[in-house]
Amino acid sequence: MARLLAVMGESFICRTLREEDDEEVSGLIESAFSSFLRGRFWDWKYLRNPGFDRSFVAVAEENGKIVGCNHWLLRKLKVSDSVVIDGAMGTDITVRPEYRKKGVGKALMHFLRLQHEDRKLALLYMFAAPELQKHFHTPVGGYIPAPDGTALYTKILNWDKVKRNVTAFNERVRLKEFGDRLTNVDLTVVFKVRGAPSLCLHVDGKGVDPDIPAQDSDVTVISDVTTLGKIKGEDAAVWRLIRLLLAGRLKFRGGLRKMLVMYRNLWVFKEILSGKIT
Amino acid sequence: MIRYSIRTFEDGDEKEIVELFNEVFNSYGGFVPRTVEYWRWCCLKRPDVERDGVFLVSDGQKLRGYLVAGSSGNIWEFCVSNDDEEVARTLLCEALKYLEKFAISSVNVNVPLDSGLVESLREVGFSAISAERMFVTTLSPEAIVQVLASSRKERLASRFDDEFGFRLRDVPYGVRKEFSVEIRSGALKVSEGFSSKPSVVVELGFMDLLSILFEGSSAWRLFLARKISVRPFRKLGAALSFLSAIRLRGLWFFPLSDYG
Repeated sequence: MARLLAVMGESFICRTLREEDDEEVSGLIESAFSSFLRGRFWDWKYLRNPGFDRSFVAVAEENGKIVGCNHWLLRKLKVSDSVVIDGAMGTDITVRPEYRKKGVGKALMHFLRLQHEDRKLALLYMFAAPELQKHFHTPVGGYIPAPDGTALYTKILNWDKVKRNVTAFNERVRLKEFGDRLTNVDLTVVFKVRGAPSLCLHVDGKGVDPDIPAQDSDVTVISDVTTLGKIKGEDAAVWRLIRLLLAGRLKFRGGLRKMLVMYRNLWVFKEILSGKIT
Repeated sequence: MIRYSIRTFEDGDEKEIVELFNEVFNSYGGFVPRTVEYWRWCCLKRPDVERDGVFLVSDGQKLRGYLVAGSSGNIWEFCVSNDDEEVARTLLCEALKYLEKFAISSVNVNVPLDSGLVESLREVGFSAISAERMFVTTLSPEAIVQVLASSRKERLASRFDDEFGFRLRDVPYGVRKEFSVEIRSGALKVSEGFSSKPSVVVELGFMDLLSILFEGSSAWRLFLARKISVRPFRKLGAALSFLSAIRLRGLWFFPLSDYG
């Protein structure tokens, strides 16, 4: 008990999930991961899971309010062609925004580890973006990359997500966040992305219009989603762009003058494409 | 030429689906071996999956492939016997036709890196993108070593006659620092702590042990980088060979249905 108490903070306690917590925890997960879990997934993922065990869900509580939660799912995992291991998958861990950076996430991770110390779980695994893993999961839980041989593929059916990014960008233009950087711009760019419909963006002083016909473009960019993913990142550098151009994975068509205008205003496309596009 | 037929899911298909999945991905690690109960939960009962989003292709006698498409735009499982391109294309085209009904902006699917289905995916307009990665750790180093060593018990017993005591540095919260592996007269025993005075003491970092077991890091290279120490020194070869012998080989593949 003393060791369990040691993982708790001064103002909150960690304990396992009770039936009366279900709605609050489901709501907390929905608010944190609304883009892909959308609430109803919690019931399915946990309550209707054949291997669900409440003792593998930890909640952090402060004055009767659940401020964070951490879920594990017990699983058998195949680790080679002939070996299957009893393990657990660390799934949804989240803390209410106003309680972050107070050690709640770390305490929730430690709590489940202590709670199930006697089970001698051979393997714990989870999925995360490399950045989150580096700053949280590895220092707190000792995680290393699995021998991953999985490739994810995507096919774009429409550019609705880009259009949402355009709406957000135009709002920032309206609020004069970019000053007069767009004042003299008048440019139409068509993105021809392999396996996807064309995307045509017109940029001028008022912002970006994503709903114009593709035939009147000044510049055409020919590429694929993989390449776009490589250049849309924060760390996209000119040399990377040049390398992709030389490798033929990125092509530009259009008049030299308009291409220079596009080069000067690459930041606009970076702003729009750096959000979710698939 | 084989004639394939495609249809949607019917009750009773689960058994054949599960058998095909376990057969097709048998050479990989990293996924939950399918049982009918698990498959029903991870695919059929998934909130965004309807029965008419589960497509099966057969050659009249045997199931040759299946695909589970969710209205969220994820192809949760895509499994094709012998990487048959015609079966793959048939399933993907049917799934795309089905998914176009929903207001989604993209369709995602994952396959093993060395899969022969990559070409079929490219043909119908899919491109590779970066994704979240899988990470592993252990709560019990002795438990993982026990499982891995047991699966190679005969080979280990013929090569070693020692008791290895492992002392780990920088263990994460809740993990014990010491365990021992005794290989004597064909028997293998892994236990917590040092049961008696071990004939070989191996000291290394917790992360270094994991990196040998999972990432295939060379125990010899870690020794040269002074991350592993062995006492007595004359047992260095035995200790490093033992660690190399129990490490995992082969790639891991996790279908989206295990992850989401």
